Amino acid sequence: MDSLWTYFNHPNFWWVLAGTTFLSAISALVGTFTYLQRKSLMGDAIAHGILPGVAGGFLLAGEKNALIIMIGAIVWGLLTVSSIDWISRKTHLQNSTAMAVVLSAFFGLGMMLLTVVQTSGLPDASGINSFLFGQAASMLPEDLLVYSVFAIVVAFVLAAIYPHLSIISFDRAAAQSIGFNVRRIDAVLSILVVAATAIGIQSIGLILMAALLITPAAIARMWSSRLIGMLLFSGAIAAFAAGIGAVISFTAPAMPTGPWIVLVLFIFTLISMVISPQRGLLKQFRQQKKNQNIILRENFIKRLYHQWEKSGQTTFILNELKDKPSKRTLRFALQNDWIHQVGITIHLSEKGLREGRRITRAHRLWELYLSRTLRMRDDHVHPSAEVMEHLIGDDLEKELLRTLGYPQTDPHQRDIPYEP
Amino acid sequence: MSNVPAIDIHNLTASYERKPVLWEIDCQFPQGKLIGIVGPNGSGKTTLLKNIMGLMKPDSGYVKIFGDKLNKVRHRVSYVPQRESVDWDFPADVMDVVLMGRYNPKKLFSRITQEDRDIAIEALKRVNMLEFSKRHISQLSGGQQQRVFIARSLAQQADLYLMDEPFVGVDAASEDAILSLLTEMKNNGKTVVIVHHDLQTAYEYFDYIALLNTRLVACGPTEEVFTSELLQEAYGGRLTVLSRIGELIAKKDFPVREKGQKDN
Repeated sequence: MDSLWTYFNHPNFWWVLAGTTFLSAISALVGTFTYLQRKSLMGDAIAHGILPGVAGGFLLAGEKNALIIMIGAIVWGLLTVSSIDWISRKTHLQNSTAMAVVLSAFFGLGMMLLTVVQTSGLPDASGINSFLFGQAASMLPEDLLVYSVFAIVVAFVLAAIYPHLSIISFDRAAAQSIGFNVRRIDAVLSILVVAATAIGIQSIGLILMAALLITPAAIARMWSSRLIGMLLFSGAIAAFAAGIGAVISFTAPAMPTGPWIVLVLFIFTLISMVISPQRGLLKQFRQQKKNQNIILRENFIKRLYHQWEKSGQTTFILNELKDKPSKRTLRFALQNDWIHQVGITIHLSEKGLREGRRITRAHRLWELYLSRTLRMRDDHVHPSAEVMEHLIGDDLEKELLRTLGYPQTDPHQRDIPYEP
Repeated sequence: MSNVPAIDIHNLTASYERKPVLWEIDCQFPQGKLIGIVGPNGSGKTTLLKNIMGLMKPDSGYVKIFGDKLNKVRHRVSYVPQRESVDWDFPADVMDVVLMGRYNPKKLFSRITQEDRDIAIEALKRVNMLEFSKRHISQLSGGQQQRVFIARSLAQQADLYLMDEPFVGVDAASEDAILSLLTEMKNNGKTVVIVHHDLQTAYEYFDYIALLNTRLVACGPTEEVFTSELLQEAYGGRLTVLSRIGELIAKKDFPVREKGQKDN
């Protein structure tokens, strides 16, 4: 623990920690809108396309000057966006193709310039590699100040056009019809993405910047189903991941920061995929289990009802039933007064009859619907009805009854049972 | 209410993906009526609506709304796109979507006010969806989603409403709710224009109909338009020459109008 404290006492530690968390949160907010507009790849294209601007800025300044590098990055970022836009508008190439072409060409150019920088003998020239994968700990307070000013401007613009961005993300046509200038808003969002990418170049690095734009939004969507909640969540999670990255960057200076941040985000993604309340695997599993239980108990009471239908019998010996119910099914039926148990016999109650009748009615109505409306052959309708009987609720039953005109018999000439 | 037509379409030719799908449309829709734009699939109904709404640029001709350019009267017009045109998995609840009708494109840093909220609540009441205001939009039925779209449109408090296929994929209860709302809107002096593909119901729903099949077959009060000859003309197969020249234009990237040539 002693060693960790020495890092905390490092003069730049708190600066860097506060700075990277703030920058990352802002980038994630911008990324949330690109995620919602299905422009996830755009961030990747910009992050790679920006490299010539970074290297060029370095050459121009003759040193590692955050402001000039930042301006170089933004200029090249805008060039990237407009080239992609121009190619996809003027040619028959698809947008994703245009992105791939521009991304790789600019990245290649950037790598060439990077080599020029490295062999130039300029001061800090070796440090330029940190722009590729990020090195939070190497940031000076004055670098952070530059990035933060840009980040504050981005946050300001986001606050100004929040309604604009949300409406065009959901419904472009309606937005346009209300009078929103969608092309201009698109352009502003592109500029925001460029800026959001550029502010992270030193802490996260170019190559993995796209992950910081998109992954927090993807995680946030699994936990929140409203835009405002998503923004808060994605900002918080990006800040947290960046914070961990910053701490690691101080404790292990040889380690690039970007990969750590991305790894933390990836772990969050995995966890969310499993336990997310809305669409997690665990939730899906539980839902399936629940469906299975419903099917089992409804089938149980349906079979008893069919027996009653044939013979008028309401008392059964448990062990003589053809398909013996599971303990859980039996318990449910007893608790809900579908049946009463006396020793080894069970007795079908009025409520149980009603439930069995309801399921049987749904089954036969569905068979009739398939046969009449979809003109399916009578011997083909049963398997579908076996499932649908468990799904058809009051609303759908009413609709079926109305469409079919309160029919008396199903395609197999069995009575459709109504409540007496 | 003045006698200026709600919509005046003048000599409109328009393309979809460079292929002309509407030829020389010329018609006028009166105010205060329930108006149907009716025609078979691929007859250019949606393209016409989008051109009226300025969402697409026509190759020639123009549209006037309440006798003015769209931009001058935009606040009096509201548009309801096809339900399938948006992703209903978007992170928003019903109230969020209806409030979008109150967004102001001219203002920066704008926030929703209590008045906006009251208007949205009123709109939700009128489509019978108030109890769902906190429900996520992906958890609604097709008909309920359509009613949310209409509520958003009502929240714009316009005089002219343009709706693209509001009855498609809608349950019986929603259909009734929408229909009685439309009648109520008409009785309040609003003009409602609806893109509709079903002939059977078109006759019952609308006072006034534009019958479309890449060109305007007829435009007028429903009784006058619903004649067997006109319906046969609209629904009895396409004009092959028109559709073939359209394909040629798309393939050769040909202009629909020569350069410098003006529409009168």
